[in-house]
Amino acid sequence: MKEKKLEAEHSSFRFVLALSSHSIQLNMIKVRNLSYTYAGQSSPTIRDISFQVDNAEIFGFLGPSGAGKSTTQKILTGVLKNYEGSVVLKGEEISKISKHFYNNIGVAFEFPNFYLKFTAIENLQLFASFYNCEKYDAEMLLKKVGLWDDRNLKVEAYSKGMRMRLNFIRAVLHQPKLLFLDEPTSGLDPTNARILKDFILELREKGTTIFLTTHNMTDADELCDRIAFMVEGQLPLIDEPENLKLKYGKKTLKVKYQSGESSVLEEFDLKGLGTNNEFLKILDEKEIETIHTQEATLEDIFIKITGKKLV
Amino acid sequence: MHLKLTKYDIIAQYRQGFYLVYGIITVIYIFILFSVPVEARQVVTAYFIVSDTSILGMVFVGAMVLLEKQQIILQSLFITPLKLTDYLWSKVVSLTVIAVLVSSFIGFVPGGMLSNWWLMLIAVLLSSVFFTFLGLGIAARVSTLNGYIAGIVLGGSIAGFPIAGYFFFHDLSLIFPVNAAIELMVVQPEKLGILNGTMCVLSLFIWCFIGYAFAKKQFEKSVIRY
Repeated sequence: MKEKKLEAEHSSFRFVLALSSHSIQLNMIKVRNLSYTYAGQSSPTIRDISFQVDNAEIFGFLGPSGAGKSTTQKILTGVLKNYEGSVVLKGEEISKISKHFYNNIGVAFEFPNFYLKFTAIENLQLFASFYNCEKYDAEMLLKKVGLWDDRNLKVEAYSKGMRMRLNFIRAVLHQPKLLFLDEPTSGLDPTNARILKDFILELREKGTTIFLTTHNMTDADELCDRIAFMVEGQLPLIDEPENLKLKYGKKTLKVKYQSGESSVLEEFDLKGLGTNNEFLKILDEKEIETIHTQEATLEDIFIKITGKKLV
Repeated sequence: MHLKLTKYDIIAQYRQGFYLVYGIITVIYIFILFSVPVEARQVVTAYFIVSDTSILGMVFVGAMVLLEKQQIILQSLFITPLKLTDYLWSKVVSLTVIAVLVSSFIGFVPGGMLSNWWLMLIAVLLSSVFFTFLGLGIAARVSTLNGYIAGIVLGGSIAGFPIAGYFFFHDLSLIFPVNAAIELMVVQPEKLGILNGTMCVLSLFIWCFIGYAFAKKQFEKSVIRY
């Protein structure tokens, strides 16, 4: 009887444990009422923001320069500690983490920084030695971003684009569970930007949570599961890009077609489009040049909400 | 201590030409020492060694840290599991290696003028450790080379106080690192005595601890929590 009772207690304990670990795993980042004021300043740079980032989610952090994005990232990476509110990463309050916790975090700063007198492979080997966890093979990473042939070149001889790619693979070298990326495609040509973006999506598929800070609306649109707009230290909006584009866009469609010597542009309501005779007639009789629905772009939404342009 | 980082620091110093500069300075010192009268050569040798390990060590560690600051490398280093203590010791050990090599040449090539190699080694090790920590602490606080030079002139003047005191207030002056190091190098072990020798070593150890605490505090305040 006593054994059965003990077993029941154990199984309910395991259930509670499983539930709590499940809820921890759901949120990689949980920020509540975060505020931060730099020493010597009277007004806060970050003003009472709250958000959470789920496991294996790409969370975009957008906003103009000076909005507080970098400060937020510094708090999330444990660089700035005297904040108000709560910042929990992987179940641990960031102000109380030990150095060992950095095995879980990878950061690629906007401006790549390396030991310039060392080669790419030497830089990677040095940084790999700081981590005591499973790591990716440096050769595989270098080949993936097209730097293998230049692995023995000193970083001082690298171009901006090459440094950006090396910066990225250094951040992912130790297979971090949480990856902070700041303008990862800045300075890259379209081919290399594509390689990096595919790599980011691949990491997400493998379960990495990615916190992406960017001005690049195309990247945000293409990569992010959700995005947050930061303006003057606050987060007025957090949502999925598709939802925002539909919500803030016009429910119309623009058709450009040839009429005689010139092009004509007409706009139609999406509602009842399939039975709109005028529209159907254009499709049937005219030579169509372009057709576009008028959902908003992320930049349009940003300007609409904040009244500011992304700089 | 992080051995790989220490190795990289030594390689970085080599690639940045520190070893070449040290080599040239060593040759110059040795030539000067040959021209110094034999009766004064011992003290001058000791002074050269201490100034070499202190001033050059401080200048070079400052150059390294300022360069790392300029290349924003520190930002990346301190968001890894690497401990600040490991970073600081890596710089100290790598520069102490050069200091010991150079001191051995200066101390013994021009005619074996110093009293005892082991005592010289202790003096060089401890004074190099202290002055490198001091340089690290100052470099953490400043962002320009001019600011750093002003810092080491001030810090070096206080810590390296009055070498003149070595001649006029001899016993009291041994609480200062430069004087304690010179004492260990120039006085014959049998004349130095256990008490005096222990006091010099203890004085240098305490300065090393002060230097370490200063460097650690300055990095925590000005570099890691910027």
